[in-house]
Amino acid sequence: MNWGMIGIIFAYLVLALLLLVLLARTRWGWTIKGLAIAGVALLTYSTAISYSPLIGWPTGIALPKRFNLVGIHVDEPNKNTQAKGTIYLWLTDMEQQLGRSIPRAYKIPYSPALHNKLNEASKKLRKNLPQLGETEFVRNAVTGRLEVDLQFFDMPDPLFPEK
Amino acid sequence: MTLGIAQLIAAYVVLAAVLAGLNIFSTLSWLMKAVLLVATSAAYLVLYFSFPPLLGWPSSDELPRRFGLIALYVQEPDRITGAKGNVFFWVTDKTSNSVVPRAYLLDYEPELHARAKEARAKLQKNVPQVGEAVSGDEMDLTRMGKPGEERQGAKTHKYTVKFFDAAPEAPPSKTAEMSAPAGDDAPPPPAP
Repeated sequence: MNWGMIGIIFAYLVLALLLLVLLARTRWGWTIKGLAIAGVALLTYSTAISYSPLIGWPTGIALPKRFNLVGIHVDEPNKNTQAKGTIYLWLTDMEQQLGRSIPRAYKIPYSPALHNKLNEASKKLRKNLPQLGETEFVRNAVTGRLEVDLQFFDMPDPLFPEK
Repeated sequence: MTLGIAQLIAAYVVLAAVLAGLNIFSTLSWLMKAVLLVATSAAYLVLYFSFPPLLGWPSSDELPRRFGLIALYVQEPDRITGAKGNVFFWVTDKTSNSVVPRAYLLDYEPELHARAKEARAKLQKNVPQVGEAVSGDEMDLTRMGKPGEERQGAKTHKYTVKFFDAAPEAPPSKTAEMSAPAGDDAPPPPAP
């Protein structure tokens, strides 16, 4: 269970506590109390059935500092639809289980420079050369915003050389 | 009806605010009322920050019936740790127009692993792969009872997952011989 699930359970415990207090320590009519019970029950049910469709889609949170690149998918900008383009990365965090953990999907804004780097990394992946990625944040000289920059290296061979 | 993250949080905030408001009129002491109000406000924030850590991880939902395989990742069973192993798929849904890939996980099975390896080898040769997930109760009966024939799918407890080479999405251009080949592996143009 990750922190997200713990947080959601905590939030619902607080809601349940509020409901309990409303039921036990107020003199409101049973109509209001009934509506409150129905509201909480409906929200709990909605959350339970909405949780599953949210899982599996890429997240926009910061990439891990060092990662093992598993997959790349690029949605290029489209002038017709005004879409700005997105780069999707599937990777495992090198800080956890030496990169053998469960892969997680991320999305970052499209940039031509990043696309070129990912093409190079993709070619090496296809040649069975695992790619180690490093995330850096660089300030864009024009916009002044912090942007993600990625560097890729061939993964060091974990096997010791034969004697 | 399923809700998105923003809708879930909005519904939670409205309901919790109403309940907290009603509790002001309860017979509790003001200290307890204040504690409940603070806890409710903290719960909004906790809920808001709880959704991002859930995103990006693979889903155990059913694979789309027809999907484009982008990448896959296999965790084999480990006798030492007792881990049962998983096969992870990163796919786009071919039955919808969505280009956003979604990650799925299936229980590890040697046959599924073998199929996945074969599909990965083809992906590495730049042959796009399309997968089809057939529910376990919809087995291909025409393939059964033929001894010596290679199995056409890897049946898991939920699915039989099959992979095919993707058909070209458009007919080749009549001027194909004149234009440079597209794709990442396109050779550089000849020097003048």
